This record gives sequence, structure tokens and C-alpha cells, in this order.
Amino acid sequence: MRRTLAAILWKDLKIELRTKEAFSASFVFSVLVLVIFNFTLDLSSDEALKLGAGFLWIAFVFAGVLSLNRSFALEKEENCIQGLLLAPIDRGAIYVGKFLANVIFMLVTEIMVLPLFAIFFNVAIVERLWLLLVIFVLGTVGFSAVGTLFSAIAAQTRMREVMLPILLLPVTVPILIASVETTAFALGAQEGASFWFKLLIVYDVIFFTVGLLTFEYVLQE
Amino acid sequence: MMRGKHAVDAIFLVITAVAMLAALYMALLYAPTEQTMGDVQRIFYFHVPSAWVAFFAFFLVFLFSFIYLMRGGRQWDIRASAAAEIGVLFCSLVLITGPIWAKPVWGIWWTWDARLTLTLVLWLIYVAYLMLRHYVIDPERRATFSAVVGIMGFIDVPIVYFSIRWWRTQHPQPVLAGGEDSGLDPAMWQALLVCVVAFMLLFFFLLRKRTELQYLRDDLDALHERFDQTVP
Amino acid sequence: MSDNQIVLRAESLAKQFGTLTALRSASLKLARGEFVTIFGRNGAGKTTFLKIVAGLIRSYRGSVHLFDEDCRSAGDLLRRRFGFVSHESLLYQDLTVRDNLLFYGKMYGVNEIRSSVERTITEMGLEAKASSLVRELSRGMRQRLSLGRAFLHDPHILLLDEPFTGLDDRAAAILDGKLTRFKDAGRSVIMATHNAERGWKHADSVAVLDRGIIVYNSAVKDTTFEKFRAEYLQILSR
Repeated sequence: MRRTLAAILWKDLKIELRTKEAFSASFVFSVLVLVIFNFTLDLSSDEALKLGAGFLWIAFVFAGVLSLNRSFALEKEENCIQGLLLAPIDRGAIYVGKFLANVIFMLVTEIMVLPLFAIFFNVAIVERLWLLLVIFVLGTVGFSAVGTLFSAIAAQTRMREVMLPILLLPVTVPILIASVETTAFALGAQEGASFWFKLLIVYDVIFFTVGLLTFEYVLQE
Repeated sequence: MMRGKHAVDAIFLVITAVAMLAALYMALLYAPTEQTMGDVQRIFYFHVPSAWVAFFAFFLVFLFSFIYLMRGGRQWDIRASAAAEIGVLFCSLVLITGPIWAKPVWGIWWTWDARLTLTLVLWLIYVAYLMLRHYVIDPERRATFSAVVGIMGFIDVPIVYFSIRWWRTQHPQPVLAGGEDSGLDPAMWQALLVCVVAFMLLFFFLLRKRTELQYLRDDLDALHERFDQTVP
Repeated sequence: MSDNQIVLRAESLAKQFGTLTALRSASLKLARGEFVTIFGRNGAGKTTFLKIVAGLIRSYRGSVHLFDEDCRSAGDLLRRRFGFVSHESLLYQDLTVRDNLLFYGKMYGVNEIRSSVERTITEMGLEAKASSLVRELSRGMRQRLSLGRAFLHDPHILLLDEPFTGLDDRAAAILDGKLTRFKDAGRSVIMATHNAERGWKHADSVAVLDRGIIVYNSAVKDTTFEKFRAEYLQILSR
């Protein structure tokens, strides 16, 4: 199981390193979102702190959807997904492998966008950097747990690019709220985030488990 | 056998109709007028039962989806999708009656009230469910995908609820003072109960009719298919 | 050459896609070292049949037994015995030739992966392009790579779905040779095709799938190509 996982993860990483499709699209899109927010809203610096966390995660969510869509689009090409299904592997390994690849891709984008965010919005991030990274991981894990499952579904429908966000966003409302609240806390904009951290962890555990259990049904013909 | 079925249908229809009429009577006439809000408050008797029915409908979607994944069987997929459609219908009712009630009483159309917001998110989740069904062509895939989404969606419900509630304590919103939980006159409770029962009956009646409709459509499709195959 | 041991038994397979019935009740037996060709018009259910045997699709009824083990309950590892070739290449366009084979080698738990991969590359005549992306390969090379992928893990049973369609001459020759050697090694093959000549060449038995049922099944030695073709055309015109 572990070897299969590693192989699937390695494959996705290698493909991405070569094409850089997910990275570039996600990164550019995130930056665009932040810039547009800056133009549409005139922010003073203390408002920037409170609202900034929100903008950051909106940017991450939109970029994340792009990245998730790509993850299964590449399996649809030449029907490679059939190659995975023919192989003598646990179908759950496909879920976990893809899930990990998605988490890594999204995290890389988030880490690259963070300094730009700090610059655009004049926000100090260095002191709480480790906390921010933990939050990014927790939020991204939950988002990817549901996103990997739903992108496998969306990739098999007629309106795949549109279907994914329509399915994904409502269900990930709690994790979006929790991520924004904890990020705002980390940036010093508000107090009292212990509930949100607990929620992030609970959400991650529940939806990774449900995703893992239901994934095999999604791939059968 | 057909006649027996028609008899059950007829009885069901009559009981539901009577219950709805009773509900109307109780809500509009029997229940006393609320002190502060006046007659507008009566919309509460439709708003709250709709919410409960919608919630129950989505629970049924979860249940039927789970059974479908475990055992298969077209009937469970039909029931799940019918329950989702009617659930979205009642959900829409909640979302429409909410602002209609709020505006005259509190002067604002919308407040991110925990229950109302939860209903909005639920509406979005199950509308997505219905859209998904629309965009998948193969019936078995459609059933499987819907079942997975139906299960995911319902598991999310408590998490959504708690996250919205906690968010509200940190970001104070205008409070719907009074609301549903403040002291209710016994007569009001009676009216509410009658309405809940009536709406539940209405739900089951619609569910029955919707599933029947789908079975008929399936039969029609099968006939078309046979016809297409035999005609050269 | 076939002896009496039955390696694969498919019984009463049935599958519907919506209102379309792909298989009604299809049954087939495969002996060790036997090459069976299933003929049928397009849409007769041949692909569905192969996919059920390979474990990609669930049949409503009936069963598939491989070496007397029920495929449905046996678990994932049983799929290792099968090799599958279809017109889709199942290749990752943005990986190199070598990386694609390495990946599939890992998926199938192939021993001594590196040498197996290099051997396959040589066998398929792809040494010059081993480090090139699949995207950059010519069509013929992609086909050869796809064949290499299917044989990499040394399967016991080969399932071929219209394998010769669109193959260039070199790839077709390689496949022909591979099939001959495969048979000589005592392995079994099920091939689905609508092309009578190609399907006949290696076959020990021929079957015809029509409207979801195997309506004709005969050993090659019990008939001639002309007789079979007449039967086949007659079934097609029903």
C-alpha cells in the first residue's frame, strides 16, 4: 500500500514538475485575486488585517479548485484512470496518493503567495510564521480531502470545471470559516481561536475518513 | 392491485388536504396574534415546519444514499433524488419566508442568523446535488455519485451549524430578538404542532408522487429502448 | 496448445447501461494456453465483457473464476494476472517512456523493475526515445509503448480489445510476434475484434457475441475459415 501510494505521489509530482501547469495557474490566479481585492476595496491598514485573512483564503480556494480540477483531468487523458483501475492495487491508495499530491501542490502555492500578501497588505507575518504554516496545512488538508473526492466525480460529468466548485464550496464552508478565523488570529486581528483549531482537526479527520471510504465507489463503471 | 393502490392514494390525498386545511386554520385563525410582531408573525407557522421538513428530507437522502451504496437497487436512488428535490423545495420556502418575516418586523431582509444561514448552505449543497444529477448521463454513475455527495452533504450539516454559530458569537450580527424559542403561548404550540404534522404529511405525499413519476419515466424509457431495437 | 485445465470461467455475465443492455447472459471458458477470439459487431458487448473479466466493471449476475478463485471476492491482487490492451494507450503524456514503464512496474509490483523496464524498452524498439516524453512520440511508438506496458508484468492472461485497430505495420508485427511467443509459453488470451482475418490467425477457438449472448463457439480445428466467416456474416445480418 505504501509503495503504491509513493508511486502515485511520485508520478503526480513528476508530471507537475515538468509541466508546472498547476503551480503557475494557481499562483498567478491567487495573485490576481489579491490584486483585484485591493482595487475594489480601499483598505486602511488595520482593516487590512481583519479582512486580509479572508482575501487570502478566497485566493487559495479559487486557486485550489484549479489545481484539483487538473489532478483528475490528467487521468482522463488517454483514460489513464483505467490503467490505475486495472492494476492490482487498493483503490483507496489512489485516493490517498492523489490527496497528498493535491495538498502538496496547494501548499506550495500558498507558501509562495504568502510573502506577496504580506507586501500588498502591509501585514507582518514573520513572528507567527510557523503558526500560519500549521493553519495552511490544516485548512488545505480538509479542503483536499473533500476536493479530491469531488474532483474525481466532477471529472466524469459533462460540465467538469464548473461542477467541482459548485459541489465543493458549500460543503467546505466550515473549513473556510475556520481557516479564515485562525489566520486572522495568527495575524493578530482577533482573539480566541481554540474552537476553530479544534474544528479544523475534526473536519480533517471526518472528511478524510469519509472520502477514503467512499472513493472506490466513485471510480467504478 | 391497481385499484387498491388508487384507494391508498386517494385516502392519502384526502388526509393530507384535510391536514393542510387544518394547518391553515390553526396558523391564520386559531393562534393568537403575537404581541410585538402582529399578524406577520404567523408566517412562523410555515417557516419553522418547512425547516424541519427540509432537514428531515436531507436526512432521508443520506439514509437512502447509504442504502444504495451498500446494496444497490434503483428504488433507493429514486427515493434519494425525490427526497432531495422536495427537500430543496421546502428549503426554498424557508429562505423565502425568512426575509418576508424579517423585513416588516426587524427592518432588515437578511441577517446571518445561524438557522437561516445553515438553511442557505444546505440549499446550496443539495442544489449542487441536483445539478450533478443533471450532468451525469449514465444512470448508475449518476446514482453512485449522487449517493456519495448525499452522504458527504449530510455529514457536513452539524459541522456547518456549529461553525456558523461560533462565527456569529465572534462577529456579532443583528439578533432576531424574540425568534422562535422565546416563550410560546400553548395555543401557539398547538398551531405549530398541527402545521408540522400537516407539512410532514405533505412531504410524504409529494415523495410518493415523485417516486411514482420516476418509475413511470423509467418504464417509458425502457419501452422506447425496446422499440428502437426492434424497428429496423 | 491447450490441455484440459480451465484457467478462466466467465458465467452468465449481464450488464446494462441505463436502458441499453450490453450483456444479457454471456458465458465463456478459457483453457490453459488457449487463444479465444470473440467476434461481434460494434456495440455487441465485447468491450464490456472484457472489462468485467478484468475487474473494471461489476456484472449484475453470474461470476468470473480465475484459477478457480472467484474474482469478485478475491481482492485486488488477482488483477495482477491480467494484461489488458485496448485502443486507449493508458499512457501519461507528460512522463517519459521510461517513467511510464517504471510507474506501471511499481503498480504491478514487478520484480527487478529497472531491468524489466529496460528489457521492455529494447523489445519494443524504443531505446532511442527512452527519455522522451510520450507527448513527443510518433503514433507508432506510442502504440508499441502501450503494448510494452501491457506485457511488462508478465501476465498469465491477456485481454485484447480491438488491439490491431490503427496499429502501424511495425507495431502490428511486434504484436503478432508477442502473441505467438505468449501462446508458446502456455499463456491464455481472449481477443475481441470485429475483423475476421486478424481474429482468426492466432485463434484456437472462435466465438461470436451477439446482442449480449455468446451465440456461437467452436474450436478452430472443427471448422474452416470460410465456413466460420459465412456463419459470422449470417449472425451479423440477423
